[in-house]
Amino acid sequence: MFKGIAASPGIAIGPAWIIEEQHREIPRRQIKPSETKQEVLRFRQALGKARQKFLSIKEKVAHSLGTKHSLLFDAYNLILEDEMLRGGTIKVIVQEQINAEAALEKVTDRILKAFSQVSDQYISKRGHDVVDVSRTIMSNLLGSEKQVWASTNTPSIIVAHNLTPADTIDIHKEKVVGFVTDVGGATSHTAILARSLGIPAVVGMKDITRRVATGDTLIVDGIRGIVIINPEQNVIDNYTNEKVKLEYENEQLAKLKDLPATTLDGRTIEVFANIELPSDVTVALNYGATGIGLFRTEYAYLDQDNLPGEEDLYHVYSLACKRMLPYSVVFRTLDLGIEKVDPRYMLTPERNPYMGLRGIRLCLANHELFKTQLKAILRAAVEGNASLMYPMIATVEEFRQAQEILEQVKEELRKDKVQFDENIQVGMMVETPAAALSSDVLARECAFFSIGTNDLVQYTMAVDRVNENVAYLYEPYHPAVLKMIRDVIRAGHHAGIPVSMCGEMAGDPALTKLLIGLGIDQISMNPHAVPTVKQHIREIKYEDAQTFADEILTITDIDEIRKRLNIK
Amino acid sequence: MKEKTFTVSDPYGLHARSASLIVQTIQSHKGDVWITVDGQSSPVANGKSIMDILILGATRGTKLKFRVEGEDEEKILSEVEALFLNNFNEDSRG
Repeated sequence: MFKGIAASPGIAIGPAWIIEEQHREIPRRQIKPSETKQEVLRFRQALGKARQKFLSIKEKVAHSLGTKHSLLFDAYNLILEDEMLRGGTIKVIVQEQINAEAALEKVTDRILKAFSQVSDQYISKRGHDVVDVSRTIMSNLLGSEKQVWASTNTPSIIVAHNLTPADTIDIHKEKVVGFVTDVGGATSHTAILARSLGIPAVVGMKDITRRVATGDTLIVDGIRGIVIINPEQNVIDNYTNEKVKLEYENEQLAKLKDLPATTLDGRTIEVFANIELPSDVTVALNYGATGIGLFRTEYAYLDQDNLPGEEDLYHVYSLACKRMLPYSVVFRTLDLGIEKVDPRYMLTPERNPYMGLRGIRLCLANHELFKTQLKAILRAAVEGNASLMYPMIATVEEFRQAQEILEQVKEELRKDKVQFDENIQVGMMVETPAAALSSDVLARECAFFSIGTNDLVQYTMAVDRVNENVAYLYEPYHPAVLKMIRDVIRAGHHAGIPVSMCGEMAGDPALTKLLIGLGIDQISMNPHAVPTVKQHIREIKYEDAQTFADEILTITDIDEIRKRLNIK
Repeated sequence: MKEKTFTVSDPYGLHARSASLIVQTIQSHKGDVWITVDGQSSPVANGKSIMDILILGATRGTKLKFRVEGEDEEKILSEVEALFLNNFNEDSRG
């Protein structure tokens, strides 16, 4: 069993189909003058074939994903027909008297060099599009097409080091049931496309291509981010059952999309989604989320070598706000460790980054970084319905300092006559035991609480869940954790502020009744968990849930708690 | 000859999809269009070449000067302007 990043939910079971990275020798030879015409013709034919391929992919994409995704292939065809590539290659064949493959390679390198001189990191990556196009022409020239999995008859799970946009999309949906890649993250191209195609995917598996052979039976668990190679029959049976159940449930749950998350006795809980890209808004809405309870803002800081500017962030945030209207978006300010924003720390990382300079601590130590983001959020809030919250708060002083900086930022915006949301609501994450235990004090300062359970559990149990030696201690059902959650909710309500929860516990249907019983006002989770949780809410009575919660909180034994919550 | 300058507003700069919309717009007319980064004399991109345009390396905030020569000068500029004003329809995309 191997763990990667869950990139697209669902379960796939089937044979693996390995897409090899091609490292084929490119023939280089001088040609005779009499061969020139033939060589140019070969190149033109390869070009024509590539054009046909892009056109047919474009059509497929437009059909399955909508025109918005298909435009990339227009760009591919323009690159293909561009004088620089087409004319350039023909010129090299004729003038240097070399074969088409060698000429194409030479011209591609030349173009890439021109791209690499573009100073902007992001733009210079555009060279990838040219490489994609060039590779397609090259494989046509070399005669053997890249192994096309569409030629298999059994629905297969694609295993590859990486998939280019063209790879990902050049598929017969009925013949591909899952994706597994060595590289990539939850926001990589493969992941986004797999999600929109509704095909389960696990990415970031490091060296899975070396561990799997074509034909091996795989289970892709796109919910837990797990891949199992050649599983035992009983494992296959279990997963098959889960898969069938899941598919049936999804059908049923789709019907819930527009229904409110209201208990049988009339208490409505807001069910929100956690996202990190504006494009995920559509996914969240499709699953029936009525708000974004956690917009993770770290993505913009990881993807680029330079820190993003205010305008970059404003664009992303305002897009999310606009798309989510009339619903609201809660932006969590930067929750990164120092090593991610200051390259000097990559060499001498902190010994214990999770207890180091991260989250609000980092922002309070780096005002410029913080102010840039706050400005972008304040401005974007004009475009929709936004609020913000600070992560990792441990003391009330931290919250006050952050608020002071926010006031400074507002003052600066006022001075510059920039439009912003004067009355933005500011909440905080409750994810350190210190914050949970002083929630009564903190509740008087902020507009809402959002309990971040992943960190709260880790810090409460003093366990790094990634450390296999102690991962068993990562125990969300521990009475200490449950008590803390109860007390935070009480403190919030006592001060008259709403209490929300984001993190894995919020999306765990086994906990829904308990959380409702404890009085949680909003729960925010991965979009795909929304329908299930909503259904649970619609099937319970708030009154019963309260009694249930009271009972659970009196139990001191974890196993007993698990049993009562029906956890395996 | 007519000239007009437009500012790139996409946070990811002028990428392949937007560049292809510019090229398609310009290719549908007979007139020639030459694009430079405002304030620079080179490189000069042929508005009918996507590669030329991409190599300009226009990031967010870059001002691009479009110089149109030949037929339909006004029409080309107004169509290009519409693309920039609508941020190449990026905002409405998923």
